[in-house]
Amino acid sequence: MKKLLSVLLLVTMLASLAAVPALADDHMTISWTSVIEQDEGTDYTQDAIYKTIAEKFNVDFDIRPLTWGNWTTNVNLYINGMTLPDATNWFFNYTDYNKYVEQELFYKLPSDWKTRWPGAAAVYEKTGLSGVLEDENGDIFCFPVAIYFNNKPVDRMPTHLQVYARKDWIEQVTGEPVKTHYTKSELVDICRKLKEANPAGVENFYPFTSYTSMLIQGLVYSCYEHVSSNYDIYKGADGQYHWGPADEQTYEALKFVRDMWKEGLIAPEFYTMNQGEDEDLMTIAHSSAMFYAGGLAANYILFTNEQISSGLNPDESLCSFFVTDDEGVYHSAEATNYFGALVFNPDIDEAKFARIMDVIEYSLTPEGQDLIFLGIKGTDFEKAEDGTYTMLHEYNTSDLYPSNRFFCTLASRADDFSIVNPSYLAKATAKQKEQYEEKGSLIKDSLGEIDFNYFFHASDAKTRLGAIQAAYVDDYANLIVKEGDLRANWEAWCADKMAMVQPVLDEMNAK
Amino acid sequence: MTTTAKRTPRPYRDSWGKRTMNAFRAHWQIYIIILLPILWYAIFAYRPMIGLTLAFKKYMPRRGVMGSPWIGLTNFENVFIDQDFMRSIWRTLSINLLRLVFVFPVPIILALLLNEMKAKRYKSTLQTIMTFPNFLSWVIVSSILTNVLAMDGLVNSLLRAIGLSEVNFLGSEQLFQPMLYITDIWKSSGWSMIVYLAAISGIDQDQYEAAEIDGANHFQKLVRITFPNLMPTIVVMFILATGNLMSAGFDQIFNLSNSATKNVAEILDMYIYRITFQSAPDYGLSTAISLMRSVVNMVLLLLADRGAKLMGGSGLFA
Repeated sequence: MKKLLSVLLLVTMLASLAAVPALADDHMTISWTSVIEQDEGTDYTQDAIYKTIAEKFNVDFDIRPLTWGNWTTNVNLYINGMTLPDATNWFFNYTDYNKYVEQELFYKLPSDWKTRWPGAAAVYEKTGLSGVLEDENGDIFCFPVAIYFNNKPVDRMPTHLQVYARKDWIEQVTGEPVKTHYTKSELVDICRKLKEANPAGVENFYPFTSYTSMLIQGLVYSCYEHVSSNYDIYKGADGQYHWGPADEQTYEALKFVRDMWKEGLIAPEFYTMNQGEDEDLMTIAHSSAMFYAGGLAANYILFTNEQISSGLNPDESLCSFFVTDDEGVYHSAEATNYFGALVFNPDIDEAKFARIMDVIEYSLTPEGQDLIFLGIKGTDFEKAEDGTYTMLHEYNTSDLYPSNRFFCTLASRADDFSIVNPSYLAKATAKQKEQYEEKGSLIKDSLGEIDFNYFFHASDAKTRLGAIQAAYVDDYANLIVKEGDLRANWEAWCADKMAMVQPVLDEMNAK
Repeated sequence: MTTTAKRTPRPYRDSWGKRTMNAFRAHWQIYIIILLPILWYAIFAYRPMIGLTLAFKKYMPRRGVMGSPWIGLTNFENVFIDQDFMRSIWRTLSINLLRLVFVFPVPIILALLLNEMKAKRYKSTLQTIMTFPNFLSWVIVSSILTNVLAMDGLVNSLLRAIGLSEVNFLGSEQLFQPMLYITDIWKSSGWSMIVYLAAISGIDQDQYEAAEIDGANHFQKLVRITFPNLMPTIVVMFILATGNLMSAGFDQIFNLSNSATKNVAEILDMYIYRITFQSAPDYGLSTAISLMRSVVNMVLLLLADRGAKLMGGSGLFA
């Protein structure tokens, strides 16, 4: 009996040894790019969140920080220069994906990855790319970074862009409580009233201010769903592919913004503004009444804090809303449920890849999400049996733990947890959810669908079209402020681009 | 009658190899000194030129520059499909030709004027003031200009204060090119002037003394002595500027342009930047464009050099 017990004990011991990731035996340093807001002199590798994850997986992270400004450029250089870090969030694009896979520039995920890392596989299933990304052998070469995977607010997501505005000023000039959405005409009317009233009492008061990219994405793209890249080539009711920027609705959208600009309702030199200047004008300088930004809880909290810092009461002076057409229909391109994809250095060894996947798997579990977004259990928060959280202080996780900024976008976006984040202002998390639901209820046939047929079409002509698409925002802004007749300018612009567009349309229609 | 020419025996000459070795032995220190720059050029200037073959290849990073497949002139054919490319070429030429007309003469004029100043301390102070802007990057200059020339900036505030209507300096297509020349003159003339001042200081003073004895006034000395002596330097600088016609001004235009002025601002370098870094990169295409630009620059440089020689001046090459 003793012998039997000894054998059983030995087998159990060996089995448990096998169950512990053998990979964790040797320490590894994993290079990982991250678009993070850097503070000079901040060490992201010293706090408790970092140490917990680093110790758990016996790793260190060589964080390669990027900014939104250099993200795509640098990652493209990493890939083409064969200097890809171990893990990198790459701006996923199927045309390039095919090209890079063909050239073996990305690591191929092992065929059994879904069974080895079931949590990660479950999240992958929710990105919308499952089943379409696999090649003929069922292999994939990237791990899409999911936006929503536990707390998706609506099935088909529109853009989360919102107008942030001075609630008190709008209520002052309209004489009624602010609404959650306004029609285009109502927006113009409010801007006119604000301009006339000049509630800020400053010499240069602009009712609406946004920097170029956000103004175009906000106002132009919310007028018509087929003006942005990836949604510009679409299949019409006639079964043929069309180029949205040449549609009459695009002209109408441009005219709407141009009229506002010419009337002085939009900051006259929005095209010289940098990101952040627009929000500063409203929340700090108090010389603008509204601007566009992402409708996420984190943004709402950011602007709330900025208003508090500048002596305002955000309950009275901050609101957010979105803009519909005059029939009350909300237009938007359908947002993908992924934001880029993690790609891996093609030459990393299997053990390192497995360790990376272990980290990803953990970061997507409830335990991992709690650690990354809330901190240390028992120190920063408590979680009851029923999943209810109790925060133990009021500090921001990212202020206490700088590594939060790295981990919060490690393998998924922060949007998902921010819907339920107990450390956030309840009003902000509610707003994030409500705007999706309300927009969803106001979309008729005005959601530009994700057409994977086009998304996944790869050709030289489509690559060349990319150069034009990259310039849409600047081109639209140029048409808005360009002297002369808008229609003539727009038609000339469309005619000019057709040489690059037509080959792609021909390819799509021939499919 | 037959004459027999006396053939003088050829003097004995060492072989080329032996002569080289002798020369090296005699002047080995100089050869060692020159070896380093030659190596530098070989490694950093000539070796990267292998990459120019990408203009005729479909670049595949995994295979490297040498292993990527040849595709003939396909990249060059693709370049011409995009209307923006040809426009950017003409725009580059137009901006830089006018730069030659408006900006190039300014440092020469400044050098001539400064040379006439007698108060040395005032002269050196002025020179320092004029040289200083060269050390500011275009990022800083453009930030200053954006603030000063904005609708609510200093200049427009002054215009409003004296009852004039405001001017949209930053978003006007008409004002963009003049703004380029004015800012270029402000930033770089003082620095460029130094070359001409150095050339002027090298003029033989005997010529001025002889002219003074002959009763020449300041203007006559300037026109008859200083300017002619400066001409070789001007010609060399002109030829170099011509050789740069297709590639000058990226930093300046990139920082000063915006969406409103993009139609008059996208020069060739900005076009290359856009297609290479702002969308899916196609290094073969970008290299093809860069190669074309370099060839045109080279042709322009040779033409300018030839033109200078035909007009009786000296060129870059003997």
